[in-house]
Amino acid sequence: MTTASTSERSLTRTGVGASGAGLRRRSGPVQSHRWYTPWLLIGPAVVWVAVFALWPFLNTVVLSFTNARPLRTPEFVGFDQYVKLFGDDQFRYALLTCAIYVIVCVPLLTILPLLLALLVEKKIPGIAFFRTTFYFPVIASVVVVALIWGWLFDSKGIINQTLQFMGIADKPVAFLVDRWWLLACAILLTVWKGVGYYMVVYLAALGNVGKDLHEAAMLDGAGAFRRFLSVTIPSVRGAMLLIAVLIAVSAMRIFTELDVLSHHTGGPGGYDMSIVMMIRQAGSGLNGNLGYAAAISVVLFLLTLIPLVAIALLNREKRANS
Amino acid sequence: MKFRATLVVGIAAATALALTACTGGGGGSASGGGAIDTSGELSGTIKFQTWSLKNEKFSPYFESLIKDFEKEHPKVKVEWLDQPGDGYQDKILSQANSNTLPDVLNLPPDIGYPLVAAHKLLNLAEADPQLEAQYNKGGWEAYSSYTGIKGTYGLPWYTGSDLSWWNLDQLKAYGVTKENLPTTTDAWLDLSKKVATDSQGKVMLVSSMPGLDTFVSAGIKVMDDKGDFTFNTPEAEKIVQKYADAYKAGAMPPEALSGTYSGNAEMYLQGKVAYSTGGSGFAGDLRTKAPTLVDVTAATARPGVPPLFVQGLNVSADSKNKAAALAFAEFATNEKNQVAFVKLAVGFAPGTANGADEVVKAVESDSNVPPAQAEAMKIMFEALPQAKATPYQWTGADTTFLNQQMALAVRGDITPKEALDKIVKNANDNRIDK
Repeated sequence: MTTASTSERSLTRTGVGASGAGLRRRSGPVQSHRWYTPWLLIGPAVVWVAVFALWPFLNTVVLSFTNARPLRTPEFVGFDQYVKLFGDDQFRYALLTCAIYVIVCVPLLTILPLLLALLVEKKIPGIAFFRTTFYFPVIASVVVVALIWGWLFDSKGIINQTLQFMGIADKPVAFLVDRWWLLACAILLTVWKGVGYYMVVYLAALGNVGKDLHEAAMLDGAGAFRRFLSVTIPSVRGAMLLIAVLIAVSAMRIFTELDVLSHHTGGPGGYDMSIVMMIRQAGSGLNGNLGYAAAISVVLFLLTLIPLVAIALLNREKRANS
Repeated sequence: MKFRATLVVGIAAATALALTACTGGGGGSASGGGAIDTSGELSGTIKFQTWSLKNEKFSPYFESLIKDFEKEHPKVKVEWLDQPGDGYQDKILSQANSNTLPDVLNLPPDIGYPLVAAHKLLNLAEADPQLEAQYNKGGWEAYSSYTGIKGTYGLPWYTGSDLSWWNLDQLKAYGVTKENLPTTTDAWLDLSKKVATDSQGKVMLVSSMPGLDTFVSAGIKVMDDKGDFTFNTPEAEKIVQKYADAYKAGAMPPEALSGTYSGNAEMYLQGKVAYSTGGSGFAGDLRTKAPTLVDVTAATARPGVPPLFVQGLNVSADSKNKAAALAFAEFATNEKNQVAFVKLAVGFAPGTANGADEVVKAVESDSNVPPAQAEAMKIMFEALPQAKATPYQWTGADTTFLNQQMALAVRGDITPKEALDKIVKNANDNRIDK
């Protein structure tokens, strides 16, 4: 039937075509548009990407090979800015700071929100209050929060006064001046502020985990911890991977917490300066060294590619296994 | 196919143009042009840009200033723009890149340098050779000392310096009175150590780290004749070591190691430290933010060579109405108008050769100005002739690096020599005029 119908339609079309003066015969599929029509359709999006993503990116790469400063004609200097960067102590400190941030924040912000989500997904009276409380830091401005934390950790702040009152410390702890304390305070702030956001992501992921899986596991005699390991975690594995990558990229680009807590200086010796703080310091103002700032930006871009490539490889492996 | 090829070539050309335009280039018209006659009839519209001065206090002054100028030159219209305090450099950069610099604008000498180097500002000494005699010498020099560039690129508008502020209430228990306050950096650091030891760290007299101005005030030559920074000297090392000793004795709050300049004054207002530096306007801050400290605070001249802060008015080299712009810049910075301005901006001195006495008299007889502020202002005005500005080559990034290294040296993590050598090397490696 199908073949007959198709032949019929073809015949009809040929007949009409035969009677139409000057109508060309087509051998391939029907083409009802010019070759550039698809380009016109995607044009606005391509222009948008070219102007606001591709051009700035290429510009940054080109700048990194120059000695550009504002209002001066840049000269190409080859890899000089990169040579200078890899010999710069400040960059090594910034790299270490960001690496520690990634190493500490990724596990904390991947696991803690999941545990919190498991707690608050229970349908018990008053749980909405706890959900709101855990989410509250997310909506607060990070600058305002960092300023408040700065006051809390000040040498005459409430934390130091409490420690001294309780006899735990005999003199103020230099939370915001010591390299490691400052970094710990900033990480604590990032974790406190981020945990609510990722908790919501996990709540959405947990909503998709079928109850039948848990029931089947219970029938097989699995306890709560076993079910967490064998049912919950595999079910939210995708969300975990995504969250881990997002945190790794954010941690690599950390700025506000360290900037505000260290009064924009990166702490004594600049040991707590992040890579983005370095870019700001090098490239801002009328005297900014734009070439150097661009070189740091390019290196930061390459560093942030690492977690993205990692998740792509993991996903490929998962697809291959399944 | 032809259309496709054209499209590809077009995109390639646009990309190439975009890439070559990466920093706005170094173009700009030449700043020269010889003398400009402002005596004839002027006409047209000019734009005048100030920096964070449009507010209840100063707006009436500027409105009246513009009205008076327009009365003298009926065919000229002045449009007043004001930029917020934050991000001023970025705004100037954006204006310079897009060739939309206002005709007359307010730039201190260090921010002015990149524009001078890019030929974006008018050489005012060339435009009107009679101007120099009318202005404060230090201020005029600040706009005339750009390495390898002849001319003067700003008219001194208002100037200021710092004083030392002491909390006598905290110090009296240790035998310190207004009469025996230290007058040298050495004496102050010695006293800081003693008071900190005696008070077991409760009274702190060091509120900030040593900066470039510390070495300038100690009489150390911070730059040589070639324009290289050279303040990594044994004298500078001794000063840094004294700061380290004072910190060890508890004379300095830990926050000062990562603090900014405003933090220095802020800590004084909060009662955390018994010493701060600040302009004579600091007395006004005391009155509004810490009234209990007004009667127990004394102001003295900064030890050694005091710092000089200069603000000026500049004329854009790309102005389409240079004569009117120059006439307005001269009008706004003449003695009469500057004196009227600093009577409002209490704590600053006029950038003119004369007029300071008139300001002091006016402030002393003004019942709204507290006696402490009038006294502080008198001390500052007396110190101004000796005051010295830090070199324009010293940038904000240099200050940040200095603070980072000084914090390590003051804490004893590195030696003063190591810190100073690093700071000097970094400043020379990144000199903006190289």
